[in-house]
Amino acid sequence: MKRLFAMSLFVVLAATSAFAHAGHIHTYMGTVTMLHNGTQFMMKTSDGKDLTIETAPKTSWLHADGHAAKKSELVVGSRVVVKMNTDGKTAASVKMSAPKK
Amino acid sequence: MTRRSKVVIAVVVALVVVSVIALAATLRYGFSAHDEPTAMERTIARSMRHWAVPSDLRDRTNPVPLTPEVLTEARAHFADHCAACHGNDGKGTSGMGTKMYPKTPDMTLAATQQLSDGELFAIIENGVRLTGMPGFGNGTAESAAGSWTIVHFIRHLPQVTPEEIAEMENLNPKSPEEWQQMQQEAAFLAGGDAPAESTHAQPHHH
Repeated sequence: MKRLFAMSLFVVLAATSAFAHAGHIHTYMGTVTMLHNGTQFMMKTSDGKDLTIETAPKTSWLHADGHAAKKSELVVGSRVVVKMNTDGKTAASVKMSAPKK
Repeated sequence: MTRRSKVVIAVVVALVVVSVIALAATLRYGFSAHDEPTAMERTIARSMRHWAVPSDLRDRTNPVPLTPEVLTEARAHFADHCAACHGNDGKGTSGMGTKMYPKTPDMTLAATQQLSDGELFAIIENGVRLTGMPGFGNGTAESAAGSWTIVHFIRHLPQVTPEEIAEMENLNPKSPEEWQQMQQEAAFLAGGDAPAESTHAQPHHH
């Protein structure tokens, strides 16, 4: 019984350790090029790639200084740093600068 | 042999057969931390966690008065020690706790918020066996005071603001590469040049 318990514990801990190193949080830097239907926007990354970013109700919207922003403050031309959720599908946070005038 | 003896023997044999089948299935398919705990495991684990709390702590209320300074200290402490697994917002969806077995709970929900101050304190100080929750206490008054302040922040989690989350991100443990990335992002948003790579795959905090 003790061996079974020890084996179970080892397997659980080994699995936890292995999976703790999986998964990445993708971050994109670039400039907003188009606003879509309220949940999406397009951006051009600073190395020239076009991306469509999907946002969610839980997405955090922030100014560059870390203060809360509103989604409606995002405009074409804003510089953004987008951190994706671990599922890679929706943005966890969008940090924005004021657009160039 | 009486009828009662026969029933007892039948029950014992049935239990042995079921146990052997369960053991064989376990040895055949192994364990995975991807699974969700069964209802029985949850019940046993919660009961064990409840019993693990010393009785004199169970009904204790937080002895550390709640002030803005205490909450600020607790927020920084949580960002540095807890967020790697629980996430800065305590929801357990952004830290390595999503890969644990059992998964880290959403601490903004009633299952955590309804625990007493003393129960939360005991969990922080002593940890929870057979989970990823370590015991952070070392028996000193300083350690206890720190854990009580964390209890205040756990109570605050349902109201945590995006500004607080942003501040905590600056306080989360970081590798030199993550520090560099954070500085590059700030410089880019301030109008500076972007780094050569505009896309980063940032590993979870280790």
